[in-house]
Amino acid sequence: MRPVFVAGIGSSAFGRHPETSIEALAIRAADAAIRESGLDRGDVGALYLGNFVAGPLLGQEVLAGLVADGLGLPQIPCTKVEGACASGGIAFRHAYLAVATGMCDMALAVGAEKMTHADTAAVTSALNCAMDFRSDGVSGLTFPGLFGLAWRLYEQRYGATRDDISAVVRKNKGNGLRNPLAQMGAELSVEEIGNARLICDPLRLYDCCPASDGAAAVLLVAGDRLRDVIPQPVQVLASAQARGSARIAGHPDLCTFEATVAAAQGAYAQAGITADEVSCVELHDCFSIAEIIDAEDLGLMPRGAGAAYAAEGRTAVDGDRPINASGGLLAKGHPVGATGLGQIYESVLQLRGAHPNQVKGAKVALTHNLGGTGVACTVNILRATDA
Amino acid sequence: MSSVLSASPVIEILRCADCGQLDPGPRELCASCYSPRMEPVTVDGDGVLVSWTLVRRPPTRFQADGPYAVAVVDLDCGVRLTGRLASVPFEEAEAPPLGARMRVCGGSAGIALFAPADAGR
Ligand SMILES: [Zn+2]
Repeated sequence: MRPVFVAGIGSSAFGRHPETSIEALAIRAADAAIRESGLDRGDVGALYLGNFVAGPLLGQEVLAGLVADGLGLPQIPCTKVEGACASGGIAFRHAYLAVATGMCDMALAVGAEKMTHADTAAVTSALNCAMDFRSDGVSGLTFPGLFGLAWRLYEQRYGATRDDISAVVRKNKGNGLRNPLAQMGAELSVEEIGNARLICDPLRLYDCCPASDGAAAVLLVAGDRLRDVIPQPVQVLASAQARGSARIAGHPDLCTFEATVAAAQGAYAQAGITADEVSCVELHDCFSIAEIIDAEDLGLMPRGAGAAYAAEGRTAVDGDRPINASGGLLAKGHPVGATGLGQIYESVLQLRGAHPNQVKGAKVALTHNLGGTGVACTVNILRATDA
Repeated sequence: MSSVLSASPVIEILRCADCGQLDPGPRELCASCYSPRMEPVTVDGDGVLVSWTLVRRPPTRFQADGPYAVAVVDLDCGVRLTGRLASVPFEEAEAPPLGARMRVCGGSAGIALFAPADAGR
């Protein structure tokens, strides 16, 4: 495997784009990544596109080929990948592998989703395609429900309170307020969060990420192309993916996702670093409680300490374990197929020193993208290159 | 998903004919020895409440059922089952505490319904 670098990034704002097609969102983000890099689009050797629900919500598939056509790429292999909410992270990993293995020198990873045109029941149904419909799905379990189950067990086991978990919401919503790409930044009090309407007990409104439209793209290149790259390159130190059980009965515990643990171990080993060397993290906070579980699964803090870390400000932009400076899924939004690449976009800005919520001296960034009931997970580690 | 025998506190799951491993099902190959001989078996519908949540906004196909409470129960035979609470606890105080003894009390469409074991039957 040879070293792989991020040569260019592009992203739409996450939020509502009623007048823009999913193809247009994806093409604009990818075109921005190519233009920023200064490289020739005729040299792109492969495209991987992450998308989850364009089939049920838009009636449109073959997005990888459609987007490549719109970009004017050569007759290269173009592949759509699906891993529920981890689709974008999986697309990134495949593009990484295409370059790392020498299959091509330049590969494009794109993620796109359009959800806000559909009503809540339709969106919930589409997202529920990631449930195992022979087991848990039969009961009517939803994704908010899965995390509602986890919350109740977590609070009993570790004594975390509603207000402790609200600290995650306050932080991410506040970070989102300063991120121009974020959909739902807000200054919220603990009271507003704790008294919001119940969605899936004990999850309340602000504990849940919104449905979003959006696209993000990353152009990856081999080291020998770096001389032509305009922006400060960022190296991909690790890209790991693991699977977990698709059903609750297959998980060892409701308060951990074994796919995250396995992908994190793989990524740390590949990068040759420990969690202590990570400067900033973008992780999969589809729900407030998810940020706490994810952070513990990633080894960023001890089991049971996640809520306290948030309440004490340790996961704030200026804390010792900055998490979701972008606002995360809770505030930046969650266009599911685009989320994993949005995380890379945010992390590259951090490592370039150009993020609106800049973590001081950020050198190593980690992204974590989780799909379904923990059925798929990707963990990526990026490092700044010296100017 | 397991089928529930009505009006009887038992539940049908799968058992590996080769090694005895139990599974909530459906499952083609035994999770322990990969045998394809997974056969239906009836076990006691008693267990412990692991967690529950109240789904207030169901997806389209469950719209008619909502709101409903999804519950995870560890059966005494060692199998973890996802079902529902028979009585929907709109207030926290109405819900059985985590760790409460539960018993299957019916079910339909493959969904096991659980109630606190001390509630009588
Ligand atoms: Zn067996």
